[in-house]
Amino acid sequence: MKKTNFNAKKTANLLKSYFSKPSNVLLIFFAVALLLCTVYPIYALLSSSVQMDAMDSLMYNQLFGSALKKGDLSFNNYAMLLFGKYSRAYSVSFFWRPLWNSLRLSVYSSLIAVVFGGSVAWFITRSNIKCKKFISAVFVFPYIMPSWTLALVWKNVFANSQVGTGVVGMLESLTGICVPQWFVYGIFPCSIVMGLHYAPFAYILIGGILRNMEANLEEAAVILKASRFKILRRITLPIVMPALFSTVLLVFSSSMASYAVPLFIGSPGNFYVMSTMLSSLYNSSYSGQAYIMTLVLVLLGVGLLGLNQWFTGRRKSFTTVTGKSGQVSYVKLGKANWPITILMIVVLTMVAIFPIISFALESMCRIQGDYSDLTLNYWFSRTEINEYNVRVESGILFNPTIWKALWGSIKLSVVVALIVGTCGILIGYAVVHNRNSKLAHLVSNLAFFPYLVPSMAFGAIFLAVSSKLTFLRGTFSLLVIVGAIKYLPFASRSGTNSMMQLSGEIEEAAIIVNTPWIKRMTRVLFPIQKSGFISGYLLPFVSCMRELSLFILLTSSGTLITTLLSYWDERGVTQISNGINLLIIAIVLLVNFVTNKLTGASIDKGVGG
Amino acid sequence: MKKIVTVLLALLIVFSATFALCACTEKDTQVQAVIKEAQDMTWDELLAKAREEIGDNELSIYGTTSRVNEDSFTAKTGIKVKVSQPNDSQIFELLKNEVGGNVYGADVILTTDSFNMVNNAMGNGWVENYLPSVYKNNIAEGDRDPLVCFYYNRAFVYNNGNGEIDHYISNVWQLTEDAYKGCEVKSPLDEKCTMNFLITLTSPAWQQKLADAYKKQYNKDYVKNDKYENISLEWIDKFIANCTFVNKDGTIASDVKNGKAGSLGFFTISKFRSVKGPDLTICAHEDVEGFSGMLFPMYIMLTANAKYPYAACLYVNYLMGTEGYQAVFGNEAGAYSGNSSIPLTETALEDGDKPLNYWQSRFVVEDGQYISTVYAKYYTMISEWCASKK
Repeated sequence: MKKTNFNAKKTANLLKSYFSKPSNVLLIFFAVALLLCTVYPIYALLSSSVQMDAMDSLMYNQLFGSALKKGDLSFNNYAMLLFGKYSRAYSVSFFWRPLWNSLRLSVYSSLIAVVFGGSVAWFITRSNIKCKKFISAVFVFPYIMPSWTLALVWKNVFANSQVGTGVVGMLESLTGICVPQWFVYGIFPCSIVMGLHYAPFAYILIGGILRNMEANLEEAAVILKASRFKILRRITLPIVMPALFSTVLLVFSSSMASYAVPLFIGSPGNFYVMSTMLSSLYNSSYSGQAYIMTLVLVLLGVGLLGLNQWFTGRRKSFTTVTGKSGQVSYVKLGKANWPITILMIVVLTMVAIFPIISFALESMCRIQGDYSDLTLNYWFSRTEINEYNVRVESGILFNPTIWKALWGSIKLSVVVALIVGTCGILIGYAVVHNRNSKLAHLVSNLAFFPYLVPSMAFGAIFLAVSSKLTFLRGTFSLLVIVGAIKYLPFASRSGTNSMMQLSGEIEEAAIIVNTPWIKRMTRVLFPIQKSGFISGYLLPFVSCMRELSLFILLTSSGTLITTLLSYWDERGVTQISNGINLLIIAIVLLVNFVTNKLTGASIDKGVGG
Repeated sequence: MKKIVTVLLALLIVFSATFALCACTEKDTQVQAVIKEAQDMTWDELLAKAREEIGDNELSIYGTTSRVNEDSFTAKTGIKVKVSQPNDSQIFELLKNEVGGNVYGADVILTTDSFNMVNNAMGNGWVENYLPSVYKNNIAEGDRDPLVCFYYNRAFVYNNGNGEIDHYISNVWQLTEDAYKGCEVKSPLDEKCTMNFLITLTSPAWQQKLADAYKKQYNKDYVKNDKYENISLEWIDKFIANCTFVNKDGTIASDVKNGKAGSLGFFTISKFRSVKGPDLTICAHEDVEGFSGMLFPMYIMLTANAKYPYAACLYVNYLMGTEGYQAVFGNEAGAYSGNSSIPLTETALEDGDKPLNYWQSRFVVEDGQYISTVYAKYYTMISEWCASKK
């Protein structure tokens, strides 16, 4: 009896001791919450891939003469998509080749993003390159803009009389040079465009670390007469390695699920990837096969995540922020400074400034694409515009529907960013404090899971959830929940990376002087790693502001600015849709600017312009 | 005795009437009952019922087009409307979950997917048809159930090099020849109406028309190619191999407009106006042997568990009338009401548009009933060709 009492007391003490640490409480809380939010989608995907719905069974009955009924269990979806039950050509065309293409595209995009984004981050944080503020501020523009805008720019520049209908692009009209078809459509342009679009990930994540890296590490190496290359290889690269892997993970997963770019400049070159085939199957009557593709995308992401986890787990701890300040010594670029600066400005102008100018011009064209006849009517008219196939109640700035939708998007993005950013910091804190525990690995992985599910499929899954939980149907809360879960990976990655850099001594010092946990978080940890944490708030905000496919199933066209953009785009009123696009970019930049003024941080400040 | 017989007869009549009434109530759902009642109501009667029913709530609509998100209905009736814009497949997924699970989601759906409409929604009883009797005689018999709200068209259009070329296409078989390579088309993989157009072409009637066109083009009878089950499939395979897939009608239109003379595209003529110029010719106006475009319907139905069936009927009634059509499409070309009494506007006619029957005689009209019988076979075959295109 006494022994039992003793054991119970011991267990109670152990539990008390376990739960007295905030990091443990947070870990348990997030483990439960995230399990609930991730198990259901996987279950839904798995069951939909083997359980025949009415259309699946109708299709297979017509095709194979079977007698399947709705609800029957069958592996037809797997047999037809993966193993050539209908024909080998079908499996190859719909699954194996797109899978191979997606893998190639993701690898190339990741490489481009890491090399380009990482290099720029290094130049900004570690060299004396000119125009830092400009480059740093403009570099994140491609991420703010929807990815297809860059694809459109690519086409407008490189299209030529030898390709397709022979529309003459900018390059040909200026130089007479006609690039071959593979340069205009296919994997090459897709990789470049996606690499450029996601380079800000690398820029933000790698740059954040480089900026906060203790200068004395490099200085010690310089004193020991190590060469620049050796310093880069032996000090800088190992330190940025976690961020590098995080970048690869983010870009690879994003590229695997990316839809718009392969659709715009891939499909015309008969280049199909998993996401375009997934969409096609989802829109066909073989939705079960689409769920298999989603599962494969998730599995690939999980594999990569495991690899990342394995690497992070085995690497020695590289604490880069000790709380001791250090003066950063910039690498002097010498004569190469101006050429590198000019090259960077030219590239950034093409990928970041040019699309914005083209949005502005398109929003002022009286007739689509005719730049000789411009008007500000689409912006400033207070009365109905009714000309050239266009009927709009008033100009963008005086249009109540646009303002209502804009407010809806801002409200949603702010709420989502606040929830996600805070959860990201807390997850980062909990995970890093329990770095070697299995639960921490689980939470870290679960927090990243939503990123692996393509937005379109994610929206569809939560649409199904809301039809069961009817109180959520069509509500703002549903959008917040979906947005918060979908964008949690940004913040959790950013939170974990930032926390990993912090030396345990900093918090220990605060604990010794009996500083409460909340105060430690808000007064000690947060201010030190402010730039990293703020990017955990800003990235979800930016993503949410320009997100369409995640929300389009869950809300009506006038609720959010992106759904309204899609509405005008579908009607062919590109003046309004381009204007709205410009508005979204302007708002994101404004938020970035205001955040910068108020807190000293911003998306690019995460890198340190 | 007479009294007893009279009483018995009276009781029998009462019982029969009660039984009949009960049977009727059991058979007709609330939505069906409202539809029956609403069919012969005047606009004002229906409006009064709808307002009473819906109050300050919103009428929920799922539409593959956002065009129906018009404030004019609210302005006219005082009834608020909420339009969600899932794509065709998602609409049927929603119907499966919501109507199948008896959860309210929408009152009205608008979709262009005839295969799912016939096999899925109507087959499973997820939707109910409401045909306002006031418009019945102006709606073609085949368009009444499911009710066709609008027809859209898509036509072959070429760049004539500012008058340099005319009659660029005289026979649909030319589209399979090397000289006509590069015709821009929305991919059947991404869009059901393009796929449905190709599947409709495999019907016996279209096989015959393609054989006739073949003979006129090559001055010989078509000899069956062992590689293909029929002549239509040969045309489809070669056409797919010859074209370039582009994802937006607007892009195709501007590519053709800004392209070289002889650039060819297949797009809705509603885009014609925004890129219009002397450079563009709609092939249909130059009589093409075979066909020169396609017409596809947009159906409108009530959901079987509509929460506001009177308001839903009123909405259908509104869209089927002149005011509703014009509120949605205005002066735009390329869209036609299922109600034949609604004329095209002068502006649309000026843009080269023609009445629906003009296009019906030149275009392939989507045949939902035929498609539903062969869909799996031909969908899979055609999509494989599209996906393996080199």
